[in-house]
Amino acid sequence: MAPRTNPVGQTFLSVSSVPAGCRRPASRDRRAFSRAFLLFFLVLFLFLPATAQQSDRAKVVGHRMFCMCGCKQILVECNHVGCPMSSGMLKKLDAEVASGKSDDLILQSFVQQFGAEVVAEPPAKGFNWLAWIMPFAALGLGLMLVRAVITRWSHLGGADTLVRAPSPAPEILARIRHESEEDD
Amino acid sequence: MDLFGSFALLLAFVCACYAILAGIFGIRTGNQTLLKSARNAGIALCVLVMLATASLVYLFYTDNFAMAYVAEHSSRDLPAFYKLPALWSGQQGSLLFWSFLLSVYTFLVLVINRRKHPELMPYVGVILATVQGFFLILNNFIASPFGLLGTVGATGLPQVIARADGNGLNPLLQYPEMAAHPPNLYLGYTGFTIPFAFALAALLGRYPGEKWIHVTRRWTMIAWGFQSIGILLGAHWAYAVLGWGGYWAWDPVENASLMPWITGTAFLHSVMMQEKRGMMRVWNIWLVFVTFMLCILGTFLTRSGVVSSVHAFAQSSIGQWFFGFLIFILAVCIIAYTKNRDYLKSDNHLDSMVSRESSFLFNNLILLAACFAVLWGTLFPVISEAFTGNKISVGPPFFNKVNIPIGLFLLFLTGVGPLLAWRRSSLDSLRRNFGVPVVLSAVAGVVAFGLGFRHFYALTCLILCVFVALTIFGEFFRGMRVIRARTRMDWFSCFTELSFRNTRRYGGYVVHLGMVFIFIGLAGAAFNRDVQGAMHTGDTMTIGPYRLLCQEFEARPGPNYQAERATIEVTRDSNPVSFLMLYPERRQFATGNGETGTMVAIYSTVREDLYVVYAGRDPETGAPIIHAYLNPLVKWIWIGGLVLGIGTVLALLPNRRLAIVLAPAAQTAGAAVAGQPAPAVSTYGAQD
Repeated sequence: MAPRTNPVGQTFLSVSSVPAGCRRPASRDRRAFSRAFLLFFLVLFLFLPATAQQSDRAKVVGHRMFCMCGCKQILVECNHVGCPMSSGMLKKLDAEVASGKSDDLILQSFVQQFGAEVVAEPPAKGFNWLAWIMPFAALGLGLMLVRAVITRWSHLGGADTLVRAPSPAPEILARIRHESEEDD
Repeated sequence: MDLFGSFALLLAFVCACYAILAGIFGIRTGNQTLLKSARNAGIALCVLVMLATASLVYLFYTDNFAMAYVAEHSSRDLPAFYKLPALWSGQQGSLLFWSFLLSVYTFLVLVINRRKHPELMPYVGVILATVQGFFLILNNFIASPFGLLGTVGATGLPQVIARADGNGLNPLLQYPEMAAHPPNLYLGYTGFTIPFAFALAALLGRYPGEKWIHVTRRWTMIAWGFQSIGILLGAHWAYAVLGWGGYWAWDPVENASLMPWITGTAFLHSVMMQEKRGMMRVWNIWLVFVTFMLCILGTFLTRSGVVSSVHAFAQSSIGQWFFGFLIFILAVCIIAYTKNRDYLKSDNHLDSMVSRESSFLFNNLILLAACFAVLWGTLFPVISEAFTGNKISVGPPFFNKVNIPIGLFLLFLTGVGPLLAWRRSSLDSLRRNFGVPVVLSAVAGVVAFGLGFRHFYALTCLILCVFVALTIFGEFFRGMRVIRARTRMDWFSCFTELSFRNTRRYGGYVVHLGMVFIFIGLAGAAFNRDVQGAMHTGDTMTIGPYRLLCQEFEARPGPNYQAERATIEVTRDSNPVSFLMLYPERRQFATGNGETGTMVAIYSTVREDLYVVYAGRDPETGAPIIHAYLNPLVKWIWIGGLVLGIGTVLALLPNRRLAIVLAPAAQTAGAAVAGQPAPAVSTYGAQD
């Protein structure tokens, strides 16, 4: 195999041009690399729960609700002094948190009082499941499509199998070439 | 002057109709005189729209309160600087401003290309005139900014009345960022009309090759650059003015500006596949179509009242017009594609899964997934209500949960993509390019974890930011080293030489670096803290290492408002010596409905922002309320925006020509006879 030049002008041999005995097996490299990464993230995850408990629960739950004064701001971010709604809602939130209710029960209590619009994210049930599923379903579908496209394009042979658009008239091509030179 | 503006707009509409009809007949018959006439009509309509806009600006500056639009959005005491932003502060004026910016683009395109691309330009002219025509219908007949205030007189005839003063400009808009944010955003929205027009023209005219992409590349980058800066200026305005401590609320109007930006970004990447390899022609054409349609959809969402937003214009029937136009564009695009799809057949051939091509495919997929997630979340309340009858909200928690993982994957691809070779990347090159960045980013992750950086997404983001930054620096370093070895220049000269030799490539890297900075800033939001309370003179408040002491409250008159200003002395880390005074302010405007505004006091460093809001007085106790936030790393977002802007400008510059270095024979490896200089030619080519 001929030497190749990278974008900055360095010449090097591609892997396949090096004798097989001089190379480390690619799969072993990949395995070692994957293990190192897995280990790193495993260690990371082991320490995470300890930090999650330190959060202010009222603030966390408050971030999942809207202020209902019409300002369209997250409840704990509503900055209107004298807002007719937020101070009452925050007091209720503090009381609910103090009573030891779970997050879901607190949200349910607010929904009963203010309607479903108070919750800043769609409930993950019934029709509203779609809100959560669709973005990832679309991503998954897209990944499958891209993989299929890459596989198909990889299997296409050389020029013999390429489908080309009809070639334009030579005079048009000549003019386009001329204009391209002008543009550049 | 009002009559002049109305007449100019009407005449512009007539010119648009003529440009469309003459252009279509000219294309069908090949009549060059007709085509030239259509082009001239297109140029004339642009000039007329510019004159109409200038006349409205004149009416604002002369306080002509007989004009309904001027009376509603300006006042005598409005500072002169804000009389220009008043132009786009309302529905009618903003639509005229849209037409104006589109006219500027159209004018430049028609004049610059008047002797080029004779097969393509007639189609481009017709498409641009059609888009202009639509906006001129709105400007003339649906939302004219030249309406007069009137009443029915004693004789039963209408009578023009002039008010002594106007309502004034919304206080929230009286900030420098608001003078710059809408024009930048609109320059983005309208700018995407140009690649759309060229793409559709190339499809309709079956224009051969990738020429339309070469022609529109810079236009697309200009539009994308303005859109990026517009979005960031809007975020900065929200941060510095609204006083809630954040910069992005996933509001439908914000989302509307983000969606075309995302698809525009996808196009700027995938277009390289078509240029280099003749691939993805169908995909690129549709990306441009979708980007333009998302601009119109965003305008529809902002102005129709379909989704509720605090930023939206007043609800009106104008949304129906945008919806109709959207359907029209979609129909035209589908018909044009169906009739000419054989023209778009590509040389689709991949040599390897691990290649620049496949990374672009994944990059496009992830960008479109992000765009879909934003669109889906924005529209879901409407969809849910239509199917279930119940109103629900989709707010920041949803968008953050869905988009953060997608964004992080995109960040990962930002680091990986540019280092993969076209066609095929060998394992050896992967190891050489990625080895150091992977190891160092993992080390950075461990160090950050040890320092208490323990939010999962924030830590992942930090690791990826280090990885991407190192890959970018590595690319620059390798290129600079080659130049230095050949020319013996200093490192800075090597850097400029490298950057200007392939501006598109290295400008792109600088843009990526800007995005890394923005992601660093976004990651900081995981550690925001805030504290709020009543503060009388002499009271203190502590947040993080800062101790705030309230010194006084004072009344201060402004040009068109009365302000109450708090003076806050800041000390740090228990050091009794104050190092900073902050002056958060609350403003009460005299005009309009007596609206209030805030002036947030921000002490900003690269490490964190101390953000102090004087929120006003408690209505029950009369006590002044101070809200303090400690927002880490926010400044990196604005630094990132600046870097992104510099990168975009760099990418727009033409490449420096190939350098041919003539070296004496003695310096070359024994090439020639001693004493006779033989040229050793070194050329530095440019690759993306």
